[in-house]
Amino acid sequence: MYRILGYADRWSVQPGETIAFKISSELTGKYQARLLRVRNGDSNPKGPGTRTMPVAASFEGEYPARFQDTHCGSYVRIDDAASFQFESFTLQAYVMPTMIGDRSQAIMGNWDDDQGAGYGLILDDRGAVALLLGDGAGGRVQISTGVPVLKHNWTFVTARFDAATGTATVSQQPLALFAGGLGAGSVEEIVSIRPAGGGDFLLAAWNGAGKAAAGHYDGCIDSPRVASRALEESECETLHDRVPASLAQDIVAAWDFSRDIPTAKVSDISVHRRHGRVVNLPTRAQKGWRWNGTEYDWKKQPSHYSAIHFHRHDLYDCGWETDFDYVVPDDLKSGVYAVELTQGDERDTIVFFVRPKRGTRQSDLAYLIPTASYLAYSNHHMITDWAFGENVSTGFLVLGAQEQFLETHWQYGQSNYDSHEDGSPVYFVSRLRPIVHMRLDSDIWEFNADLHITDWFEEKEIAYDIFTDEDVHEEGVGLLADYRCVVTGTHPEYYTREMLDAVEGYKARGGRFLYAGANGFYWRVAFSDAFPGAMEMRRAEDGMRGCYSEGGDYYMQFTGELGGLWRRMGHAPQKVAGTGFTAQGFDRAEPYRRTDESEDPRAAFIFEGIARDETIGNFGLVGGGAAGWEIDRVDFALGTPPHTMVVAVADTFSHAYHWVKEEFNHSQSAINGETQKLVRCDMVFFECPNGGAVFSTSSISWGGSLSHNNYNNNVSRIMENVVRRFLDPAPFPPPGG
Amino acid sequence: MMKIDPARTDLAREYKEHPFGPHSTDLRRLLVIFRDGSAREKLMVATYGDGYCLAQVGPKRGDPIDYHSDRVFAHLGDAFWAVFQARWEQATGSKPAVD
Repeated sequence: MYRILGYADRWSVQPGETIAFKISSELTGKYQARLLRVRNGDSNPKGPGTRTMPVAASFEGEYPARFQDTHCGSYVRIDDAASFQFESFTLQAYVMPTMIGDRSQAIMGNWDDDQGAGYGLILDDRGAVALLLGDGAGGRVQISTGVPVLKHNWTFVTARFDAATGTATVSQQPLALFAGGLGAGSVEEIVSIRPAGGGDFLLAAWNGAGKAAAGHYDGCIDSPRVASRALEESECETLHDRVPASLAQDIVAAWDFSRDIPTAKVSDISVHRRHGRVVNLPTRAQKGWRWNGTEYDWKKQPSHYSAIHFHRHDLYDCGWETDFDYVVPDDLKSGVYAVELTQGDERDTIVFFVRPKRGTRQSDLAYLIPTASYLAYSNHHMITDWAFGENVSTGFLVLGAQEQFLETHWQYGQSNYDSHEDGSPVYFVSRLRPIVHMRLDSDIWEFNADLHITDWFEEKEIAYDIFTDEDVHEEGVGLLADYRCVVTGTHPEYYTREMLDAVEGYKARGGRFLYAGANGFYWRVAFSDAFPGAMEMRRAEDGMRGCYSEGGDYYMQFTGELGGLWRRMGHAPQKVAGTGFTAQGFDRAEPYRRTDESEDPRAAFIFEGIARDETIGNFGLVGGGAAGWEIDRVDFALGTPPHTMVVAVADTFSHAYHWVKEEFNHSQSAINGETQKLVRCDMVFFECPNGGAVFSTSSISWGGSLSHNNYNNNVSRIMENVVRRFLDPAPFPPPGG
Repeated sequence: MMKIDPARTDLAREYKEHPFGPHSTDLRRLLVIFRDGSAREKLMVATYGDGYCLAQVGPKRGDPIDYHSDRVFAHLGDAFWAVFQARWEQATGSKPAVD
């Protein structure tokens, strides 16, 4: 599996626009490509199965297969290589390495490891600071202090070379003083080699074979400086905060990472303005050597956030060449599509979404595909790397094809559920790479679970238009305003401020909002114009999370916004849909039972054809029930509207369901489905201004029950009752009105 | 932490007969202990062809996965029983004495 893989340059496309497909194959020969419209991506034989329909497309045909490599690892590239060719020099910076001793790593220089040419300030394979010099003709020397730096400690490092005498001086001094001079070291040697040649000037990497960056550094770098002579030690000390006039002519570059944080630009504050750019999205707005905990917001004290944290497996864009384009025809119906690639026994499906042309509608119902949530989970390594994974799922986990592939292919990046190898959280994810969790016939978490709903729409012949989270983010309430009904996917967990505003605006205008999932509107995320296709999130403070941001890491670099739970920012999920995340468990799902409130005439339309004592949803493809996996409940203190009706409830969850940790202040024993009354799933309904309404299933498992018994069941009936009423323009009167 | 008693083969037998549950309170407690730790520290179940086998993820990211492909299981329940036995052995030094 995965011997042929691809991705597209975009996920959402409208008629008339072009989408580009990039493919890599480990096999020789040719592959076939064709277009499919997708109705259902869940291949479970207990359900209707994967259902696709071929669609004639201009690109359909055979293509030559070729392998395209992916180079992960973040670094900075300075564009002006010629200005960094000199005979004598000084390189200095503050570094805080997070992984040492497994290989050599680059701090800065123009070192070309393939040619053995140029110079580089590095950490050697024991983690000691060293200077590499090479003449490109076989002459090469490494001068090392021999003292491993202290991980997770700021250390001032310098390398100075005087070509006139051949004197190379390398030193390292931790910022903190330790007894016995731990972590400090220096060396001076006279060498015969004079560095010559080299490649581009890079920070946190060196030039490798074929112009690819290599020698990736794990850790932070702050205040890097380059001079064109061997400075005195006292002169090096004057460069920490600025370039003094006395050294202006000697300084080749002095980069201040606290500037232009939201961008790809790395600014040189010397007179030369030799700016650079980050590659593969390292983490900016990082606590630098000056940080003292007095300010957590980098915008208010940027000088304290002057570091960049580089990681060997950072990835923004695979950068593959395009194999073929597709111009979406004007008459292509909005929906979920996939390019199917086949080569021998290998198959891949590259998913994308066709939305209506801007300003037009093809139907009265908008289905919001939660692509921000897909991104957050993309290429996750939870099963291999979470220490608590099996106790979260309360079962032995299985290394499936996805896990086995990702474990041996770290170059395809990680998810927001992962930590980097050095233990720091993964803040950035990107769609500009193959994402194995967004394929047809893969697991039913997120994407294929959401296709249970498109499958149901098709079965019930309910017309729908598709939009992604990025569409909603960019176009706001105007995108949704004309739709009579908006339906969410099963797990719309990640939301930007703009997306929330769009949904709230839609509801206020009389829209009908059907929340067909759970654990929605939970975390705040941000997109960036500087890095299209990427998403940032920082898990500040509380929440159900696999990793977390330390103090000082709370504010996002893309937008400067505070990261974390929407609940902690005055917009709990209960304000959006009446219910919010209360518990999760993965042994089995449960059925709902109607409540006394369900007999209120306001709720009559929901239960048309459903008996009062009927068990609702004791079947389904997701846990065997309609209420389960992640579940939501009302909380009037958090923002459930006061007139909300709880019309059905599921509250028979097992010990495997764990109450969300942000709801209890102190460790205690009443935390699971057997012992905690707040572990329950509330189906709710409430009216909105201007004739609108909200209906929430509050369950991830809901969609998996829709197809049971050939779509003839009470979960499907309730869904149809609600959708058809929500599509009816007759306004919902306010309660008591 | 609860000490695992190798003499409690009744718990092993219970798991063998009901790998997917429901489980007694004592067995649940034992399973919580068995499930602690990342995949890099214990044998896991992996898909293998059309079936399953036990596998060991390497200590370092990117290391090859070691598949114990001498035993391939057609049914997931049998694979789970095998990994239960492996976790029991990891905890007590020997496999549970259950046929």
